[in-house]
Amino acid sequence: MKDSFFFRGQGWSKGSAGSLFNFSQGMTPYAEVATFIIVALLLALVLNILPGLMARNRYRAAPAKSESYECGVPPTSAITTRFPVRFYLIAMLFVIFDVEAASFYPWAIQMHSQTFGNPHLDEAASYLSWTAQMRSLHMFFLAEMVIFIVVLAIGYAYVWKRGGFTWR
Amino acid sequence: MGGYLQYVQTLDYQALLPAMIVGGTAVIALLADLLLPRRIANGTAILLGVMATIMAGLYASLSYGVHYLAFGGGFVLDGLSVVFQEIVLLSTLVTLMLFNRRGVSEDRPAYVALVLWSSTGAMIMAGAGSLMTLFLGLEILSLSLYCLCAIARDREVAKEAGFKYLVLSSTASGFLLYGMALLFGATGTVTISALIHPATGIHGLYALGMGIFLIGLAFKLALVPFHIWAPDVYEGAPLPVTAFMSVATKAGALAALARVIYTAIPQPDAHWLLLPTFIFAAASMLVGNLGALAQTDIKRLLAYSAVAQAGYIVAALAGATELGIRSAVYYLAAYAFMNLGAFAVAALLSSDREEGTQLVAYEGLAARQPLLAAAMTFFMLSLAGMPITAGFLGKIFILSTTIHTGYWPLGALLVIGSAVSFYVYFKVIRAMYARVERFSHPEVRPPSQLPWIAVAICAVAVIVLTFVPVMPGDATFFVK
Amino acid sequence: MADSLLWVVLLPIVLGFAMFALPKAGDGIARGTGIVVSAAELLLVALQYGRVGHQVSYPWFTDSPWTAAFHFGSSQIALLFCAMLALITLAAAIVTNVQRERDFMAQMLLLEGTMMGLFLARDLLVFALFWDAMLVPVFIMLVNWGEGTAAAWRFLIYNGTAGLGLLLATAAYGILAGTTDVIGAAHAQSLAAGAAWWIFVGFAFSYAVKTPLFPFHTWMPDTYTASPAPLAAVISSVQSKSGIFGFLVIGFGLFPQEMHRWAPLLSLLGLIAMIYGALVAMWHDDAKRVLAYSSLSHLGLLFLGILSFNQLAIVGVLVYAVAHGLFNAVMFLVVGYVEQREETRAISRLGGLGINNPKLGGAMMVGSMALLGLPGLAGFAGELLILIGVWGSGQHWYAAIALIPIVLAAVYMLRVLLKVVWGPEVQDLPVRPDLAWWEIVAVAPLAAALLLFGLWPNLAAPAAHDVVNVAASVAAAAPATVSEASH
Repeated sequence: MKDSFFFRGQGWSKGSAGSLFNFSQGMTPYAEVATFIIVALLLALVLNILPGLMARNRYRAAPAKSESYECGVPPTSAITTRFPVRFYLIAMLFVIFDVEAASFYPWAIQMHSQTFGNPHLDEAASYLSWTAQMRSLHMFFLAEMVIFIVVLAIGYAYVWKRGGFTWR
Repeated sequence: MGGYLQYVQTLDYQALLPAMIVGGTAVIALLADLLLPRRIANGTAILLGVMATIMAGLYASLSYGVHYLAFGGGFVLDGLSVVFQEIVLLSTLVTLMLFNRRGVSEDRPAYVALVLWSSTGAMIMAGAGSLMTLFLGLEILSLSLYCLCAIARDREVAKEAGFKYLVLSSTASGFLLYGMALLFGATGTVTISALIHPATGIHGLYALGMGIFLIGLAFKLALVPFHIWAPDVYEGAPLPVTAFMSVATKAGALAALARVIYTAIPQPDAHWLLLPTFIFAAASMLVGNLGALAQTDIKRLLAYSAVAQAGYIVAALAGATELGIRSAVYYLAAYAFMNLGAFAVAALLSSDREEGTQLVAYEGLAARQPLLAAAMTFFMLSLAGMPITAGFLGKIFILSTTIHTGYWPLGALLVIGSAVSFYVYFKVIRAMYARVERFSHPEVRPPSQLPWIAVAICAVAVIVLTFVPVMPGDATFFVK
Repeated sequence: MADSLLWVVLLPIVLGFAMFALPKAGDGIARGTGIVVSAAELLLVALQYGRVGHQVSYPWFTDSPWTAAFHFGSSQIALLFCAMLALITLAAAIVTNVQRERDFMAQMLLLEGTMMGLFLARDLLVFALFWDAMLVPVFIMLVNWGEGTAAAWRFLIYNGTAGLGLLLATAAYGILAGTTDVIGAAHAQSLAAGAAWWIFVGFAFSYAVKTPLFPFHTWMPDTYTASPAPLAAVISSVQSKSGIFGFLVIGFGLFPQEMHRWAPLLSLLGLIAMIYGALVAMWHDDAKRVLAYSSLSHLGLLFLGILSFNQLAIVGVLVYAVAHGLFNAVMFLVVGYVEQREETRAISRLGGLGINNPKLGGAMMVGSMALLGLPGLAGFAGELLILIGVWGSGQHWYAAIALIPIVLAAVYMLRVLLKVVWGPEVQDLPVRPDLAWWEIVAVAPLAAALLLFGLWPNLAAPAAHDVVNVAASVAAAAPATVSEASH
């Protein structure tokens, strides 16, 4: 029970209790973080100051300078237009389902890495030998994802039924 | 059995089963809304919720006495988690009973689902063995509560409550997360009981992280000085949701706090790490009771009172002794019953149009409904720490804890706070018993008689707990 | 089932709650039930005299670092107070005449039950439980049947705070001594001196507020004045004795050294209370306030007696405690009669009641005579014993000064009596019927008991025995002054 819950997958491959994120060996682990922070601060500072120094015609007023930035194209309308609040709902629903769909990737990678090269399995797994143990492992992963999708689908259906997708 | 079960044991899922029952039923409640006609779906949802809560409660009680680290320490099954889960389930059950038609009639299945989900979150918090699980549970709880607070959309205060809770609570979540990150950075682990090694001593970063983490928790517990949101949110949320928030949220957060205090803070050389909890407890006991003095709305009154009561419990925990956790568990159980009972009484004084939370609604109650008034009297006495109620014994236990651990100033502050609180709680009793010539408040017909069950259960429990003080020995057991 | 000693406590409480099952409107039924129940309670208490020393105990919690038990035990001293309580409650029940009588009776019975529990408790925590529980019925009666809620608040906040002090001290005692099941125990756990010091302060503060003693008395006149007569009779006569009881049983039993240490201050406060109460009582126009301040004065005398650590004085304290309870009850009931008839209790507006209402005048005279210490009545016996005891313990000055307020008692009581009963008839005062038979029946047993204790004060001696032994041992153990003087 020594290794932590979340990083166990990486931990066992070294055969030690130390996980991937164990910084405690060696010199202070925060040097990198500190470097990162300092560089970020410096960069922000430099980028803020540098344009003022470098701009030759700093006083020349151009109307485009006071416009909102739209990828170099002149803006077609005021930026403070009113638009239906429904966009928020749609956007939020999109984000929810999008993020949930994105969670397929780590799931797939985990399934792969847990199956191949997992020393806890009785027999070393390979793409050619397909043991019962691996099958049950895959069934487990499959069941997990099916539950996930079913819950998601119920939510989807609920939103649909409650009129979350109808525009008006 | 072999197979994948070597990886994730069946017992892992059994440990999580109560939470899964509740969370799963929430999904089923939504399904019922999809598939059944509205009228049937409404009743079905409530019924499903009640059944799920009872089943989960029974199942959780079966595993009482089992100590197990599920999911590699992510979820803990021990006495503490079971007791706190039961308290969460109790408040869920009462919340479902207190259902008020007002504002949520068309959303009833959604309402039930949200209550069940927040319950799930609180249960996960109660058993969280890892910072990640803790945060997961907290967010499940909070997200559902944001919606629940604002569910009565036609009321301005409800919207205000939802928004206020969303903004402030997310800030607190941010604090919590930042504290967790620092703790992880300092120790390299997220398992709560592995956070500290006696050998390594205390990293400065660890202390900082722990401090920020405790601030985050204090916010969720509405401890002074992070309590400002509580009265407004409690007032705006529908009555049952307020009842739920005042008990279940606190139970979840207190479980987490207890686990951190008792397993992640090395004893006794790092006791100074607990300094924030002392300050929170002391300030909450005073400010909570003082703030409640002027309130005339039962919800706001109980909001401030909840601040103070949380202060009492934290005062018991702050010493990190065995007596402390036992007193805290006992007091929390007592608090759950008395607070839920008080809200149930308020629900019985509510009509479809208006919630019976104004103090005016209680005037002359003793003459009109002696039984209800008697029950409310017991709840108020218990909150004030007067006999013959569980609050009295709970206060005795907490007082003896503060003396036992040597933190007697906390005990003295508790006494001062309680002296102030007499006025608060007896104000309600006075309203019910004082002679009134003419009732200014119209008689209301509660939309359902279901809260009577809750009132009866709570009143009996509040009195019986005094004479049979269950001090569950196993509740003090922390799996490390 | 259950022990009859337990029923002494449970009967009023259970039946008090059961009163709510009676019909709302039936005032006569409610009063009848109340009278029957309190008479039964008196009988139950009397039966306990057949087996003094009997104890019942049920464990409360044992798996905590300290243990407590629902432990009740009868002793002479407890039964003395219980009998007084039962008698006075019966009298109060007989004369009760208020609105919503059912609820009032229920609260009266609950109050009686809690006080019974207090006197019979053998566990400090049980004692604290009943101590606090006592507040609730009184508060409810004050807000519903009292005059204004300000007095109720003052009563509650004062006594609630005192109760919390008791709670803190009890919790501390439990933690430090390992158990609270110690009242009347032969060999009580002795605490470390520092702990005992402040635990005793907690107890003493609480008792001093409830009794009340001089600087903590400000709630008392308001409360007595605002209470309806039956309630005033009960709380002024019996509730005030719970503090005295605490000092006698718990103070002497568990903290003999601390009693000694605090004796100079407490008896000085007692003396101040005596003089202050007597002086204030001379100037008040409200008869109830006069009684309240006279009560403060008399309670001061009790403190003086207790803290003289003298055997004779302790007997005197018990006689006087009973006497004070009885004549206070008589006087508050009689003032209640007057107020009911004349709708005022301002002494200046009353006069000549003895002419039209001779029975009322007679009842008032009996009460006043006992109060001002007429020889032959219990008040005199108690005062005399206490003064002799105080003198005997070497506190000659205290004894001498204590005589002044006792004389003043005659002044203020005769002022009331001469004006109200024998004074010139007041013109616009309506003529009302004299006392009804039940009103006489209510006060007659109290007057009889006053006479009995006056003629035979030794009745209280066995009760004093419970205390005296301890007091004597204290005197023996204590340094120089007191022990020498008591020989």
